[in-house]
Amino acid sequence: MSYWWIKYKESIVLIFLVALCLVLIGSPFNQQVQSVRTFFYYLLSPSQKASFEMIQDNSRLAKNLLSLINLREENLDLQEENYRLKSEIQQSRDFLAENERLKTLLAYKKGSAYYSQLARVIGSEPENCYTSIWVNKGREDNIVENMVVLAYQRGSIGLAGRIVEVLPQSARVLLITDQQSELRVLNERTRYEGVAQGENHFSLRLRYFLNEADIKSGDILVTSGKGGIFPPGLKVGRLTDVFQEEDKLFKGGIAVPEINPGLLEEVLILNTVKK
Amino acid sequence: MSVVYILLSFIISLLLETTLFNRLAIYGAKPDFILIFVVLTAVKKGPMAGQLYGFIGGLMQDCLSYGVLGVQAMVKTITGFGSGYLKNKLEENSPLLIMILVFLVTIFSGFLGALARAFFTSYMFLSHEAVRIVVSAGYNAVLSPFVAMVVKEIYPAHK
Repeated sequence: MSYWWIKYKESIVLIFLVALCLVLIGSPFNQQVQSVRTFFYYLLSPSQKASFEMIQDNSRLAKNLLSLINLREENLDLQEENYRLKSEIQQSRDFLAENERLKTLLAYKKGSAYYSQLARVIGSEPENCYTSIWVNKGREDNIVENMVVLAYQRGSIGLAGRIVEVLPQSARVLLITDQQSELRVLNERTRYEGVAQGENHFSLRLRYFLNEADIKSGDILVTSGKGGIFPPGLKVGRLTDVFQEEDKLFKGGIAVPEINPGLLEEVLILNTVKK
Repeated sequence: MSVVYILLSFIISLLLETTLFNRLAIYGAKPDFILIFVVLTAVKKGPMAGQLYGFIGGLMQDCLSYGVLGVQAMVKTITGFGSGYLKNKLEENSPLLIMILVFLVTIFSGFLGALARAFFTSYMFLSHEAVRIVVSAGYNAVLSPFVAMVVKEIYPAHK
């Protein structure tokens, strides 16, 4: 036994670990698995919030790193002054942009038929920024699963996703661009209905439009209101490509989401219980 | 003590990946610091350390994702195990070799992860996913010499 262990211990451990992973993969998405996840995120959440705040306070640290590289070669004082002024201008621009986003979201909130709350994005998935994000509102703010999340970008408000996991002070939003996300959409112009599925990228795959459906590039897609989660009329995206599905039974297409989930900073969480 | 440093590095890596690098994502791809740590630790310490750290790091990433639990753990376990066989066979002080290794390993692990997801879930592998994996590999390769410096501090040459 010891001989085998000494000779093949790496391979034995590998087999054990891979088997353990397969058990985890095969285990249903049940309460126990969810508890492990929640516990781990609960441990990391305060640091994540702190990191996010630090990044916010340092006002676009990454943008300034490039200018820091050349700092030594220039006159230090002048460069510092220049850098400070640039940072202030950048900061002012950021504040202006943030102000505009928040004003629009607040105006939407006032005019909306639903209760809603503003929340800040505090993190995303490690691998891909088009799958899910974390926001700084949670159970203590009366956030519950399946609440609808909207965002404002480039002059319009669009659907970002829905709440799928809630912790006391934060919640996970499954973005519409995640492959696990599917929702019914309507062509705003012709009212033909289809299904939009995320592609883990800044695009949506459209399916199940009837063959006779009048859909074309540039058409706006909105939520249909069917399915019980998303209220009707929320902007989802814009069609960029239409084609016949291989099975010839339906038309399909590609759409660009109304908002880019990879660039979200603030979101509006809708409680779809009417006021 | 090195175990503590590596775990601490994993936690810092996860924080960076989920916060700062969300804003620096290229084509939706972010660097996978944990993978770089796993590969470089495996090259330094061998297959056993590589697979154990790969399992722990992958599981941590799985816990923060909304995908299937265990996929990243499995991919990084296998990657760490494989990379471990390069112990004493790779010139660790050459940044170029490290970058090439990390680039290739990221592509391997990206496709292995996609394959696992496609096999165990309803996941569909799309063309831009391939592009994302390649971009992520480039990102990892560029950052790998910096991570190598950290790993060098954790495991000094005399040990």
